[in-house]
This record gives sequence, C-alpha cells and structure tokens, in this order.
Amino acid sequence: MNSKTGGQNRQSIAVDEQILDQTVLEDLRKLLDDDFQLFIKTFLHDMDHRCQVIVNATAIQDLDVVRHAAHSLKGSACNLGAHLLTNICALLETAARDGDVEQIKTSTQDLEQQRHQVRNRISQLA
Amino acid sequence: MEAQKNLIDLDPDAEVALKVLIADDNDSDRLLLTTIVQNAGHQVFAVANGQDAVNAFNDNRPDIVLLDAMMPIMDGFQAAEHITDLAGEEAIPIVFLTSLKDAASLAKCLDAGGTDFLSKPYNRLILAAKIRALGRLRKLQLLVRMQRDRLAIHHDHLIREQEVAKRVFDNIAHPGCVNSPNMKAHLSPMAVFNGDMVLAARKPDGGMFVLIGDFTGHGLPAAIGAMPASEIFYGMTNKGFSLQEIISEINKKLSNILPVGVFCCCALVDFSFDRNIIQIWAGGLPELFLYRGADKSLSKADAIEAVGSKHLPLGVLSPQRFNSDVQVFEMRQGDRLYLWTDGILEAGDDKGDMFGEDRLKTVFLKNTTIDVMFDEILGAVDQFTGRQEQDDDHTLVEVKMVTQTEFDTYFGEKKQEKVSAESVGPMAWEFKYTLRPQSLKVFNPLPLLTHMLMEVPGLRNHSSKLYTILAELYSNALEHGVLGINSSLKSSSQGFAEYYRQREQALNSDFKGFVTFTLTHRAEPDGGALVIRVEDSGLGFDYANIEQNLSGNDGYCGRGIPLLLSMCRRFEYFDSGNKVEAEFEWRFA
Amino acid sequence: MAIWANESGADKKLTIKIQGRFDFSAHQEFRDAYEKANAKPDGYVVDMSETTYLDSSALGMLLLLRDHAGGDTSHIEIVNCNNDVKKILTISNFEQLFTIK
Repeated sequence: MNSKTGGQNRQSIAVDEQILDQTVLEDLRKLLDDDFQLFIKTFLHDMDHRCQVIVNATAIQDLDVVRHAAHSLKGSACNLGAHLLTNICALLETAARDGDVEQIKTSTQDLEQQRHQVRNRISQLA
Repeated sequence: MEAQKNLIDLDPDAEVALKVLIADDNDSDRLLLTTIVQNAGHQVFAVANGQDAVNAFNDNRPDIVLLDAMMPIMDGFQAAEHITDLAGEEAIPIVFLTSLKDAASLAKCLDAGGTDFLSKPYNRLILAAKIRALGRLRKLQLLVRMQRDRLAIHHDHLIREQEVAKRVFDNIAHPGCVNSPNMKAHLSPMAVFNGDMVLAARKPDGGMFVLIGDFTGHGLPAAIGAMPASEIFYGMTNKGFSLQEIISEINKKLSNILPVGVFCCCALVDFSFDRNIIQIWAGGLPELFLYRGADKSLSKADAIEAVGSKHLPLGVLSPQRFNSDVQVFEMRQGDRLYLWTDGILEAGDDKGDMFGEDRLKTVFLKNTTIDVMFDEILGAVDQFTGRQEQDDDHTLVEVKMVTQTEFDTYFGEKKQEKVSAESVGPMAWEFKYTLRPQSLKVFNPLPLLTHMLMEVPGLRNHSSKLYTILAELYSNALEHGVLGINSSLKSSSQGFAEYYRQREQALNSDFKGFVTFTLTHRAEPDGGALVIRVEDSGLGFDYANIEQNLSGNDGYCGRGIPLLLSMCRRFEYFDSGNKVEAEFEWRFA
Repeated sequence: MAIWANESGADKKLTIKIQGRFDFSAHQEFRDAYEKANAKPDGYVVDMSETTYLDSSALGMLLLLRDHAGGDTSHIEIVNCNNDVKKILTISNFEQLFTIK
C-alpha cells in the first residue's frame, strides 16, 4: 500500500467530499442512468459559463449580474453535492446584494480555484 | 381537456400521468428535474424563463407547474401571477423551486400564489411524492367543479319546471274575487311553491267564500295539491254547493292524492253579507283573529276574538272520518277577519327568534286606524326580520264585512250570454223531485236543481237569482216546514248560531216528512218562463199577513221573501202555506 | 338530533325518543326506528322529553308512524311534551289521532 494513498488522512478525504460529494454523485448516476453523462456535460458547461460571467461582471462591478449568476450556480452546485462551490456562490450572492466589493473580488478568485477543483474531481469519479 | 377528463374518470388512488411544466433557467437543474419527473411517469414541458413558462402554460394547460423563483426576463413570482390569471377558476398547483432556506423567503413563495416549495438539492423521492399529492388535489378540485356544474344544471331545470308549473297553476286557479275591494291579500310571489294558497269566490246567493291553505313541504310537491283544491273550490262554489260540501270534497281529493304525512292546514270561511254572519271551518292553522275594531264599546283587547282550529288539517282523515262542522260568528259592518298561515308567526330575525303571537297581538293593541292594520302587520314583521319584502314567505289576508249592496256593486251580474230564438235548448219540460228524510239528511239538492236549470241557455244569465230563489224556498221548506224550527230565531245574528245548532240537531234526529220540487218551463213569445213550486209536509204558516211581517224587517232575516218578490213576476202561497210557487220570466237578448 | 328506540319487554311497546330538533333531517332515522324493530309491538310511545322543536315535517312523520301502526286501529302515545311541543300538536288537533300526555 502506497503511503500517500494509504495514508491519505481523513481531512483530505473530507475535503474531497466537500469539493464533490461522492454519495450524491452515485445517486445521480443511478437516477439519470443513460442521461448521466449528458447531465455532467451540461453542468460543466453551465459552471464554466457562469464563472466567466461572474469574472466579467466583477471587473466592471455589475453587481446584479454577479448576484443572479452566483445564485443560479449555487443551486446547480448544490444539486450536484459540490458543497464548497455552493458556499462560495452563496457568499458571492450575499456580497453582491450588500454591495461588498472587496468580498466580491475575494470570492471571485476563490470561485475560479474551486471551479478547477470540481472539474478535476468530476473527471476522477465520473 | 382530454387529459383532464381522463384524470377524473380514474380511481382517486390510481397512478396517473400528469402534465408538468418545469421552468428553471439553469440547464443542469432543468435537466435533472425533467429526468426525475419523467422517471416518475409524467409528461414534462421544460422552459428556461418566466415568459416562456407563461406561454407554455397557455399552450399546454399542464396539471402542475414547477417554477424557479429567480429567472431572467420574468421571474417566478411574476410568472406565477400570470399563470394564476390564465388558470382562472382551475386551482393549478404551483411549486416554487428555490435554494433559499430562510423562512421569510419560503413564506414569500407561498404568498406569491405558490402551493408549495421545493428546496435544492432536489430529492427525487420527495419530489415524486409531492407531485403525486398535488395530482390527487387536482383531481379533487376537478371533481368538485364537475359536481358543482351538474348541480347548477339541475337547479336551472328545477327553476324552469317551476315556472311552467306556476303558469299552469295561474291558469287553473284564477284569482276569483281576491281583488274585491273588501279584501286585502298579501302573498309572496312564489307563495304557491311555499305551499300557501288563497282563494276567494262569489257565491251564487251573493255571499263570499274565502279559503286560505298551507301545504306541508316546499317546491313542486307543495304546489301540486293546490291545483285540484282550487279547481274543486271554484267549481263547487259556482254550482252552489255549501261550505261543508266543498271542504269535504277537497279533503277527499287530497287524502286520495297526497301521500301519508303530507297535508294542508286550511280555513274556509263563508261570508254572509246580508245576515252579518260568518261560518268557519279551520283545521291545523294557528288562531285567526276576528277583529271588531269598529265597535267603540269594546276595548282593544276585547275587540279581538281568536278563532282556533277545531279540526285536523285536510288530507289526513278518510272521507268517512272527516268532520265538516263549522263555527259560527256574528260579524257586523266594518268588522274584519284576519287570516294567516304560520309563516308570519314563524318569521325569524337573525338571532333566531320568531315573530310570534305576542308581537302580532301587540300590533292590534297599538293600532289606532283600522284601515291601516293590514299594512301595520306587514310592517311589523318586516321590521322584526330586517329582510326585504320580496324575500318574505308570509301570507296575510284581511276581509272586511260590507253590505250585500256594496259587494254586488263591485261584481255586478256576470257578462250576458246572447240567446236567440235559434239556440233555445229545452223549452217545454217539467221536472218533479221529492226528497224524503234519509235524503234530506245527507243530500243538498240545490246544485243538482241549478244544474238542471242551466241546461236552458235563456236561464244561464240568471243563475244567481235562480239559485237564490231555490235556496230560500228550500231552506224554508226543510227547516221551518219539515223540521219545525222557529224561523224567528234567524232574525238576530246571535239567534242564527242557535238556529244553526237546532237545525243540525233536528236533521240528525228521527223525523218524518218530505220536500217536493216541481220545475216547469215553457216558451213565451219573446223568451221563456219557469215556475218553481216547492211543497213540504209541514204545517205551513199564516201567509196572509206576510206583507205586515215583512215591513218590520230590519234585514237580519236575510234577503228572503222581499228579494224573491222583486225577482219573480208571480209569487204565491197555497193551502196552509206549505206550498209556494215562484214564477220567473226571461227574454231573448 | 338523535333517535333512540327501545323495545321494552313487559308491555310489548316500542318507545321512540327524539333528542333535539324533530325536523326533516330526522326522517330516515325515525322511519328506521319503527320499520326495523324486531317484533310487531302492541303499541308505540313517542317520548318528547328531550325534543326541543317540532315542525310540520315532524307532524308528517308522526302520521307515517300511525299509518305503519295500522292507521285507525293504531295505539300511539306521545308523552313528556314540553309546552311548545304540546302547543304545536294542539293547533293541529293531533289529540284526535294520538294520545297526548
């Protein structure tokens, strides 16, 4: 047993689960059956698109657009069991509603990072 | 419509394929939802914004709508409003899809017209179960609407049937003399369908019958009994039958046609304007008031004489057990008789109290002008119930005692039938009819004899006069001649009640004797002449002094002989006074 | 409104008691009370001790009972009437058909 994989501690497993909850994914796989791949593809496409929208909107400080995009992505992330992504979107949504520009900038960066993490995790599991 | 019709045909617990509209702007969410709902066996229409949702609703009329709260172009709340408008009276369930978790937001979904909300992440079990539950709700709503529509159709049918029935009834039960000036009547427009009827007719001898009736039940069953009752009333009154005969016949008819348990509370009153007497048969009605307000010597309380029902309602007893005994009251000019059904006494206010006899009596005690008593009674009831007049369900009748002349002025002689030499009918004939004790006890020959005379067209225009002649002569022959009752009793109105009592007693006893009618008719150059001869087995009377006796008459003895003398061209007594002939002439028009 | 029926052994009479308002809504139950009795009783007793109100449809129901019990040969007592009930029965002269106490 490889020490890295065998020693993979609980925390990192927990983090992985926060990036993408495997149980949820498995449930969806069973539910969607033949449509599962389509669903994943749709999600990834939507995620990339909305993140791009948020980045652009943040740059020009269009708070309403940020808010709506973050809200929408939050929902679909939640359905997929991508908990960290969900939380970041929630923060973005609130910040955009409150006009907290600093928080928006921070969260947008976090968002980009998380996007890649989710993508990686999906390609591992799906 | 097809799908909806299928929906309600199925058993409520059966699984049913519903049409579900899904509106979510997020592609993956929309895909997820669609899959879940389709897997549950339903048909899905999926759109990405609020406007498309409204359009899709309009085009496909789904059974359930799932709406994302936040969507571009038109959000979920606005879409919900439009969809609710389009749905009209259909209560289409709207489920809001939301990732909002706070109570305020969730409440907002429901306040915006949502039936339920579904939170993300979507749980397929919950979603499927919610859709099934909403499907059941939808079915129930459709069922209720269908039943309501059926009820409305039935109700319309019923109303139309009643309208037809009312027209038929109006044709049969013509108002008679309900409109005569000595009578006031208040009935609700649908009185007959509340079971109430008021009938009034002029008697051939100049008097008046008034009948008030209250059938049990409502609607057509209550109205049906009124038709044969009124036919009998008007038909028999016209032919000259007595109150007892008419009320017995109506009871016989009703006990034949009405089912057990259905009956008619009723009063029939015989007004005799020349004798200042009324006779009342009352069964099942609350007390009626005879009000002698014109008599200043009486206190208001004493002026009210309450007349209670002595009999069971009509339609209860078989003809053999029926009792037609009447109560006799003196009633003078200006006195009034008030008749009502229990609708007035039971008129209720919104607290559930009833108007009752005490309040009714109070109206009488407080009244100062008798002419407005009728309106005051109605006013008091309306004030008590607080309802509009057209909603009322009460029946009130007031009859004033007037002189025969006043009553006759209103009616006059009915329109004259043209009689010419070509259409004379039987002109030369003789008819002899003898009645012996057994027949005298049970049979009234007057309608039969009148009917005979009506076979002659020339006599038809004089039916009232002829009836009066026959009635007067028969009464004298039977009561004075055969039964030996002292006719001077009739000369006072108190005496009349006693006279009537003696008449009944004597008629029920074992007596001997007979009355013979001989009717002879012959043609004359310009018309015809009828001789009515009545002979009785009695001792007769001193008719030589008849002129003197009559001149002292102040009218209580009735129209009697003076009237007969005025109607006939010849009027003679023979032998001991137990034979009399009245000769009546008529002319071509 | 409730209806109780009791076939008392000794005098073979069926007692029917009406609780509350005796009106059209009592129709079916009242009928069942005498139609579904086990044996043909010798007489009937209608107990009005807890009857608050009587209308014309109740009078009709009493007539139906009388008809069922043999019409003119029937023996029906109406007992424990309060003043209101007694008044309604008296106005209709029902004491000519029933024994009223």
